[in-house]
Amino acid sequence: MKERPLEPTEALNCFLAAVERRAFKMAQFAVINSDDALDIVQDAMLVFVRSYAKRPETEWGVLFHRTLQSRIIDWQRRTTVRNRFRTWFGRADDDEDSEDPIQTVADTKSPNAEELLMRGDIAASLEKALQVLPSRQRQAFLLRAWEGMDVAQTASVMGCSQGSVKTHYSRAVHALQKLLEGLLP
Amino acid sequence: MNNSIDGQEKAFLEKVKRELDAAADDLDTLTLARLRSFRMRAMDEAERRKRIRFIIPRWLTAGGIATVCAMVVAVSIWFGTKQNLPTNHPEDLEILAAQEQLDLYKDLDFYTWLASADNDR
Repeated sequence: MKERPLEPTEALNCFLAAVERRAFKMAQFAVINSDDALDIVQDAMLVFVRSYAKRPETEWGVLFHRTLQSRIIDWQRRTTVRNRFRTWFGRADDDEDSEDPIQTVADTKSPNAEELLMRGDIAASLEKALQVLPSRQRQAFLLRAWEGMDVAQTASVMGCSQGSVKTHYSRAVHALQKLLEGLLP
Repeated sequence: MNNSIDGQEKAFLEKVKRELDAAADDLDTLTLARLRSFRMRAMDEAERRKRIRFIIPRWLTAGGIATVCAMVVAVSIWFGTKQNLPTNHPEDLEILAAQEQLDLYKDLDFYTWLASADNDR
């Protein structure tokens, strides 16, 4: 029996449901703060629906990620400007929102925690390693290795040449291999 | 040698991908709920845009805007040229066509009085 093709709106809903979690994680790797990452994903979804919903479904992946990356870059620029103003007005040391260092210490005394701790260590280390990567390398790596995009699609999302994508990706892989040497052999 | 490096890299990438997938699957309930609400909002927006497109087809809006623009230009040219001509007051046309300074016409009463005073003398 032949399957009924999805309604355009239904297809759009399925597409967004499939990408929303990974989009959130990508934004979180870039901006660290979860609330900011959620704002970025919300913006990206609305802009995508307004601008590209009528485009063929085969193009949605590239277009959504281009929108998402553009929102992330916008956020980073705004934050840079805001931080510059804060430095000028002498509020650079204002760390009310910073994390309590006690909260970041691992609880090694919990019973039966070894396996969970190991698992948590890998995830946390990977997250940390992705956060310290330069943003272009992180973009290239996540789009190629996680989203499974080819070089041409990644170049289209990042707005650069295919050669640059290859360079960024290769550097990212080597940097991550070095950073995660003990955890992910 | 090269093959073993490629193999190592492939295995490394597989593990990273697995970890990333796990991290995306393990999102907390609150984050998932917020993502869902954003998606619903985006879908509402898509529906709204679809309804607007249905009510006013694109060809009609483009044609309509072009027609309105053409009509505005035509009406402004027609009435603009008609109203600017001072046909009801031919003496004004004479003043406008003259090469004299406008100040002369502003002080015309004074010069008329001066001429009549000279004549009386």
